Amino acid sequence: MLVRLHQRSLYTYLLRMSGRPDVAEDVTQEAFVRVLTNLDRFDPRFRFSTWLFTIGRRLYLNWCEKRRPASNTDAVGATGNESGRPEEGTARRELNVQAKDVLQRALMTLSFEQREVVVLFHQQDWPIWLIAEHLQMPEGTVKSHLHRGRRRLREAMSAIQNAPSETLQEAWL
Amino acid sequence: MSTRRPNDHHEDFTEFGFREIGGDSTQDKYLNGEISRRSPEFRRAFQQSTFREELVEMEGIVESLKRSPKTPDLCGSILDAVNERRPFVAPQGRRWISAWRMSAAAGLLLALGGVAVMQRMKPEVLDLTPSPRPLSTVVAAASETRVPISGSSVVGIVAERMTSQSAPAARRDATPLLGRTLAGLGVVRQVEVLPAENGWAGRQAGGIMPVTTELWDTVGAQWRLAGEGWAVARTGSEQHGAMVIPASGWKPGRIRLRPVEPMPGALDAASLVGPF
Repeated sequence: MLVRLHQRSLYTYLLRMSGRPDVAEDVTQEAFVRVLTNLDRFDPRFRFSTWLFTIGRRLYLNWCEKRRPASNTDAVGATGNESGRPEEGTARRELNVQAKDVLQRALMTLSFEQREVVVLFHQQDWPIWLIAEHLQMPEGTVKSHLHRGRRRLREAMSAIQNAPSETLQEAWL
Repeated sequence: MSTRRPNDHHEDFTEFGFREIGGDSTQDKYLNGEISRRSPEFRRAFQQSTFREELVEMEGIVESLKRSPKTPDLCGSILDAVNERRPFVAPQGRRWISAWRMSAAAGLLLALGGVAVMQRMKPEVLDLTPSPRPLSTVVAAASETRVPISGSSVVGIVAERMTSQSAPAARRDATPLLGRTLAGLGVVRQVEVLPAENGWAGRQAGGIMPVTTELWDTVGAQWRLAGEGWAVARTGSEQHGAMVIPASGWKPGRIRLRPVEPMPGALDAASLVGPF
């Protein structure tokens, strides 16, 4: 019941974050397993979904961390990853090959924080205060991520739609 | 080779920098749900064609974000993984657990029912409070044991009798209240607590006013007054006028009690006191 109720939202969030169904599936499964085996640690003062998403997010970050090539730390900066998240370069490269839908490809041009805020706000319908609480950042920062994320998303969408895929791929890389 | 990335034209992000570039635009406010379409600000901005075009485009993107991709059903794999790490109870075990719970609940209900029936048929069996006894019984008991009625001996008897005959609840209390002892006597109506500065001799000299006077019905926690002074309890009964109890250092078996003759009218404590 618990799984059925929340699996969709967590899976879609992770899918939008990673752009990879297999990763989204694995991380969702692992998050639920952690939650179900540690239900006694749940603090009922908080929302269950927030707890679940916190675990899912942490697992996803761990996954990204593991996938980062140990000797290729400079590559992160070289990909224009303004957030400094380690997975951006790898994920973006993979996505250029794998992502099929335009929206997902456009999403992957966003920084990790921008993507996360945009997905949580527009896809998951979380209010700004909750996102701020979840990501432990001020509401103003959440709004600014939203603003920039939306703007970049729009630009990327139109770029993807207008440009031939090879050109675009080259541009991102 | 110059490669232009889509990110290059963006400024480095800082919250401060963001505010400068206009994060609080009308479109943002609208998309953030801070203003509605009916607000004057939105209406004003909506008259500009660029605003309209951008908004329509943005709303289209947001709409497509909301359209969730197909989600696989992960229930089975999740439960399998949970079972691997923390195995579930087998169906037979579950049956045993539920049977055990049912029998425990039935036993509890049966016990409660038994108590209820007992309460109805023989309430005295379940009565945990000590039954009140007139002071005359105590005095009689003191006489029977041939102990001179001089304070400690009498009270020693009182305390023993109360402890042995009263309920377990009274016995549990390591420092029983003065009031509890008096409750056992049953006939006390009023109690005065007197200051102890001058000791018993000073009390005998008279003229010391009570610290507090309480009706017996109202005495409670404040009776934990050990060491504060002397207590004079009035029975108000015709058989026994009053008794004098020093509250100081009172413990069961050490309390000093002195029954006195009946006193008509107001109690004159000084006149009740005799040498211990």
